[in-house]
Amino acid sequence: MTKLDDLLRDVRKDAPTPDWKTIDDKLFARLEQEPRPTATAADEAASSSPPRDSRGARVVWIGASLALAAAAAVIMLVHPAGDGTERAAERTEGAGAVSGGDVSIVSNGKTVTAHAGTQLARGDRIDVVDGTAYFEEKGAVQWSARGGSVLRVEHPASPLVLSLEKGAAEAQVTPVPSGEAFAIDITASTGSVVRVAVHGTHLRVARDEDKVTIDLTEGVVSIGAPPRRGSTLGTLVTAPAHVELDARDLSAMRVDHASSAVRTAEAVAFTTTHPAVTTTELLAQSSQTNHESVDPIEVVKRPLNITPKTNAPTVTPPPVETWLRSTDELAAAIQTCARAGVTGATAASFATVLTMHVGDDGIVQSARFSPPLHDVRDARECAAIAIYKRTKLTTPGDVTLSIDIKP
Amino acid sequence: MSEEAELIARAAKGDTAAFRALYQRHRNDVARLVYRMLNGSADVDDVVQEVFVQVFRSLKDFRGQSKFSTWVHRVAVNVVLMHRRAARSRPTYSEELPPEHTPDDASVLPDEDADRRARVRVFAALLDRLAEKKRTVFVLHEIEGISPQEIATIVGAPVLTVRTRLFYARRELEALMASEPALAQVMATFSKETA
Repeated sequence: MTKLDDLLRDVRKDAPTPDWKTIDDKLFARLEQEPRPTATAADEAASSSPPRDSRGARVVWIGASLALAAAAAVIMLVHPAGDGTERAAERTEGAGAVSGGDVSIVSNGKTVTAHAGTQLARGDRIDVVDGTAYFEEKGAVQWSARGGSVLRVEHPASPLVLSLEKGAAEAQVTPVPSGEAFAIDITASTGSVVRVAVHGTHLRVARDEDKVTIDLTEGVVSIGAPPRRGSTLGTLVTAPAHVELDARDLSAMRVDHASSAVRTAEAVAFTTTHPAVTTTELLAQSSQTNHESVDPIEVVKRPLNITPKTNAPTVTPPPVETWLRSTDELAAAIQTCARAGVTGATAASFATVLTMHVGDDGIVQSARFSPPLHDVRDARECAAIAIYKRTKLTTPGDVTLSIDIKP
Repeated sequence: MSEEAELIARAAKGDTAAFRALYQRHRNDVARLVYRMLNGSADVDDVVQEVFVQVFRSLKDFRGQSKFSTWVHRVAVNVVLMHRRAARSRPTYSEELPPEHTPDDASVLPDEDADRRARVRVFAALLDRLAEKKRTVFVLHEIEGISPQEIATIVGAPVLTVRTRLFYARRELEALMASEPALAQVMATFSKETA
C-alpha cells in the first residue's frame, strides 16, 4: 500500500528545472528598464564613491557619471539657471505638472525645488515639503497632497499612476470614455501592491504604513491588484464611501457608505477663489436629482464646481429608459455591456457571479464580480453604471446573481 | 552586518550585481514554490520572473522584521495569487478543451515510475481544487516543509488560522483522494501529520 508520505515525497521531487537562461535574460532586461530606487540624502552621500566590491557595478557607475556629466553640460548650455525650468525638456507626456505649493522633486537622484509649471516625469519622487501642494495634468486630473506626503510618478497618462509612499493625496479626475483615467498605487510592506483605479471621480487616498483610507465623494473606483495591462481587477466601490483596508490583505477591506463617514472633500486646484466643497453639499446636489424622473446617470456626469473642466471628454452612458427592477433585467444589462465590450473577440464565453448588497431603498450599495469582468474591454464601467446608477431592486439585502456572457 | 544583509542593502539602492547574487540564492526556492502553487502551469517561468521584478521594486520596503527568504516567499505567494486571479478572469474560448485530467490512465501505464507520475499528477489536480488559502498553506507546509509560524508571516495570518486552514485542507484532500481511483489506495490520513 502506498503511504501518503511516499506520495508527498514524489510530489516534492516533481519539480522540473526551469529554463534559467531564458528567465535570467528576460528578468535582467526588464530590470534594466526599472526606475532605480530613490536615493535619500544619506544614500546620495554614500553613493558619491563607486562600490568597492563590484567591478561590473563600478564600470556602470563610471559610465553613469560620464553620462550625467555630459547631460549636465548640455543643460547648462541651454539653461544656465538650474531652477527647475530645464525639466521641461525631460517632461514625460501625461505626467502632469506642479501648479502650486512647496514641493521638492527627486529625479534621477537629483533634487529640484519645484515651482508652478515644473513638469513631472516618469519615476519622479515628489516630496511635499510644507502646506499643500497642487498638481495638474490639463484636462485629465488635478490632485493635491499635504505636507509630509511622498508620491512617485509610476506611469504617465492612460492612466496616470502615482505611487503613494507616505501621507495622502486627493484628486479630482475627469471621466474618460473608456478605461481608467488615474490610479494610485500603494505598495504594502510585503511587496504586494494595491491599486485604487479611478474612472472619473473625487477621492482622497491616505496611508499610514499599511493602513489605507479612501474617501470617495463622487463616482466609482476599483480597488485591487494592478493589472499588467487593461483595467484593474478588484472591488467596485461607489460614492459616497469611506474605505479602510490593509494593503497586505485586501480581504479585510471595510466599506462604509454613510455620508457622515466620508471625509470632507477639499479643493484640489491651486486657487483661492473656490471654497472647499463639503460632502454634505455634494450629497445635496445628488439628492436634488429625483431618481424617479431624472436620468440617474446625471449624477455621474455632473462636474464638481471646484474644478471646472474644459475640453474634457465625457462619459457616454447607455440610454436609460426606466429603472432596472429585477435581477433578470440587471443580468441582461450586464450581458449587453459585456457583449459590447468584447467586440472583435469572437467566440468568447464568460461566466461570472455578481454579489451585491442592496440598500433598503433598492439601490445597490456594493457589488463584486467573481471572477471580475477583466479583459472585457469597457464592460466594467458600463456594468458599474448599470449596477449603481440604473438599478433599483425591490428586495434589499445580499443578492447573488450568476451571469453567463456568450457571444 | 551579515553578507546577505549587505547584499540586500546594496540591492535596495539599485546595485544590480548585489540583486543578482540574491536572485541566485533564492531563485530555486521561488521556482519550486511557484511550480507547486501553479500546478505545473506553463506560466511558471513568467511568474518566477515577475516575482523577482516585484522583489526588486520592493526591496526598499524590506525592513528585516522577518527572514529575507520568508519575505521573498511572501512576495512569491502574492504574485502567484494575483496571477491565478487574473488567469481565472480571462474569458475562456468555446473551442478550448478543459485541462487534461485522466486519472484512470494510471491503470494502463506500463511501469511503476509511470504509475507514480500519474499519482503525482492526479494529486496535483486535487490540490488545485482546494480553496486558495487552504491550498497555499498546504503547499507551504506539507510540500515545502515550512513551519506554521513562518507560514503565518508569509500569508499574513495568525498561526492559529494557518493551523485551521491546514486542518481543513487535509480533511478536504482526504475526501477528494478517497473518490479518485488512482489514489484510493493511499490510505494514510493527514490527521497523523504534525502541524
